[in-house]
Amino acid sequence: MTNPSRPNDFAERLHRIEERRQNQPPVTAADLGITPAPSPYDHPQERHLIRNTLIWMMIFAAAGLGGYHAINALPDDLKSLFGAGNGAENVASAAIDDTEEPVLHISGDMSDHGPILHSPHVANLQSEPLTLSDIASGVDLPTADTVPGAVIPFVRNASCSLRRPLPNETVMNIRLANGLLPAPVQAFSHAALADRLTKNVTAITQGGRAYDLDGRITGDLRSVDVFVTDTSAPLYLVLQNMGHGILWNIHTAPDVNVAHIAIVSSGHSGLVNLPANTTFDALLVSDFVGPHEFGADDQIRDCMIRPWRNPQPDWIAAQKAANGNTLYENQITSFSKGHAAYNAWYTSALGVAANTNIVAPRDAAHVLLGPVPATPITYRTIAGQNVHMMHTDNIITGNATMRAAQTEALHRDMLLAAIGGDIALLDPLPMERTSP
Amino acid sequence: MTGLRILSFCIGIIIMLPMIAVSLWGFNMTQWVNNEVARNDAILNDAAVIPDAMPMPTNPLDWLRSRADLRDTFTRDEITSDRIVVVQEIIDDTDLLRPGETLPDPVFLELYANARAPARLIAYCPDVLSAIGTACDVLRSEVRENRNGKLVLTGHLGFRPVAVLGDPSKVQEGVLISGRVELPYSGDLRPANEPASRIKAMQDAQAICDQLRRQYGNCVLSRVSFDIDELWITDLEVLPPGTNPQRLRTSATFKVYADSATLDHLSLMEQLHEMAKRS
Repeated sequence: MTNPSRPNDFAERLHRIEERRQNQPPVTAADLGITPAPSPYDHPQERHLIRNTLIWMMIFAAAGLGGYHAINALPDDLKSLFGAGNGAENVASAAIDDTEEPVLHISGDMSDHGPILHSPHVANLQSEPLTLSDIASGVDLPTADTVPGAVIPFVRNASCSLRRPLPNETVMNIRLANGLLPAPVQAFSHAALADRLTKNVTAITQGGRAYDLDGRITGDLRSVDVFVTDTSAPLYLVLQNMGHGILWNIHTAPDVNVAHIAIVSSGHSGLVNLPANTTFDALLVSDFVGPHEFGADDQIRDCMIRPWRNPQPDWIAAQKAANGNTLYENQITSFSKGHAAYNAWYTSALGVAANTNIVAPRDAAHVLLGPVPATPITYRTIAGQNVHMMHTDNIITGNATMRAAQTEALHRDMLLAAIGGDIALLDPLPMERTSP
Repeated sequence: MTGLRILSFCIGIIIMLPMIAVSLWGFNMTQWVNNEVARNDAILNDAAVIPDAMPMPTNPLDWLRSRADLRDTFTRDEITSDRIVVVQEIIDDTDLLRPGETLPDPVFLELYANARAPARLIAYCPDVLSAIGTACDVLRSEVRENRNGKLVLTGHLGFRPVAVLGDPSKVQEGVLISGRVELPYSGDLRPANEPASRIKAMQDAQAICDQLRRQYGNCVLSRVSFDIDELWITDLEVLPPGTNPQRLRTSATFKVYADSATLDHLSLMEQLHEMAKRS
């Protein structure tokens, strides 16, 4: 048996003890007659102001110096993200224009090799950048999931010549490294697929590594909007680039007559929203010129169709070269000589200089050829529109998921066919001696 | 406190020693390069006084690599890339195909050859297991096209040795010395590229290694290479019908861990040539 009143008694006793403690003053060491020993930390703190200031100055100086050199060591494109560099980025360049091309005074990013004009900046023939809303209305930019219409392959020129402009036609040039808008098209040759898969296989058979499942060729294109507003004459557009293939989306203002479009590209490129009655032809650089190596394009020669851009004084590489940086001097020399060789071919092929009416930032999303329209022209979407593509073995369209699945299937099927069955045959099991 | 400081100082010095050694080596290398440049300039310019050649400084960290080589060479429990048999196969494109298959687009032929090479080359492992190995694996395979448009498949077959290799730990002040010798053949024709020839060549090579082991306490047959020479049609015309046109040129590389005062590369090579002649 237990006494039910005991817990309450205990609680009351605790309560009384607590009350008594609270009413008593705290007992100190002096109350008990104890003299506390002096603590080693009880001395008044010395401030060492000068010493500490010097130490902190050295720490900040080291951190600052290290940070400065670390940022300077970054690639220029990355540097511009931090707003660092020599002041040439994100601002208009005051460099002297001593070339045939207008220096673009851009509000986009300046890279080693020219301006990078992301949407909504619009590259154009003038020195001031424009904004997309000034040029086009009803803008519906492409995404990776935009689904175009049918793909209509066309055959590239077999010789390194283009249809020559007629005397009444005005030649206008766009020359880029890459486009900056997504394009829902992939294009690559069997040779490129074989090369990629061979690298993956030899990584196992020669390097002893695991199969690289991400080692795929995608042949992704980029797209660029080309707004054409010049109505002064029939136009002959020369669309050139040195990077991945570009899907050129043509937007024409009323009364514009685009007589012909010539494409010169390092990647499989195409056209969408092609105006009615516009003819076109195309050259793929790799059909006539080998992969680029330093100095390979320096000599003027037949068929040198790699579309080098003419270096401009506001390029970061040009400014670094002017300051005596040998690496950039070499780059600028490559661009200059490459451009001279390209210009020689271009002039002989088309009868005009390669820099005629040119817009040539490094990368762009939108380009305007002609004056700013009085009223923005209607934007023509890629969705549902037929795409004219340079012929190649594999052209894939559809939304991003469909394209990824088709690309993966192409790689897997070809790999398994090449192995002749199981992927394990790439690395057969070791054999053991069965008898002693 | 003083003891702690001395201890920290000593630990710091120990940590710094490799860096100091490498820095000194770098300094010596610079001096050596400068001397070589001066010597070359003097020779090219017909100078009256030509500086004496300096021995190239030895990297102070080389012993680390040597230890790893020693382990990979002498371990008997693993297949390592320090013990290989190199085999070759010369085939037509169509030999890659299985029954019912057709040749792919020519751009895929190199891919097919590389992808099918390991499965073809592991077929040479039974020869290795018959002669010198208890286990065998394809460590590396390569493909190239020869002047006749045929595919040349080359396989590096690693093996776990049957033979006793000897104990290198008994050698004082030892260095790993290697020597290569081409194995002789009798008659006018080299041996045919057939399993029996390959097995005999590997056994002959192992016999040479066994002699070296008896003399120096250890020996490893580190590489046997089978290169294929194809006879010309004009050669085949005078030979009996059915003669295998693919003939073997075999070489073997041996490694011995020995005191450098006892054995060097040249004397090993001399011995190898003598032993090969007698085999």
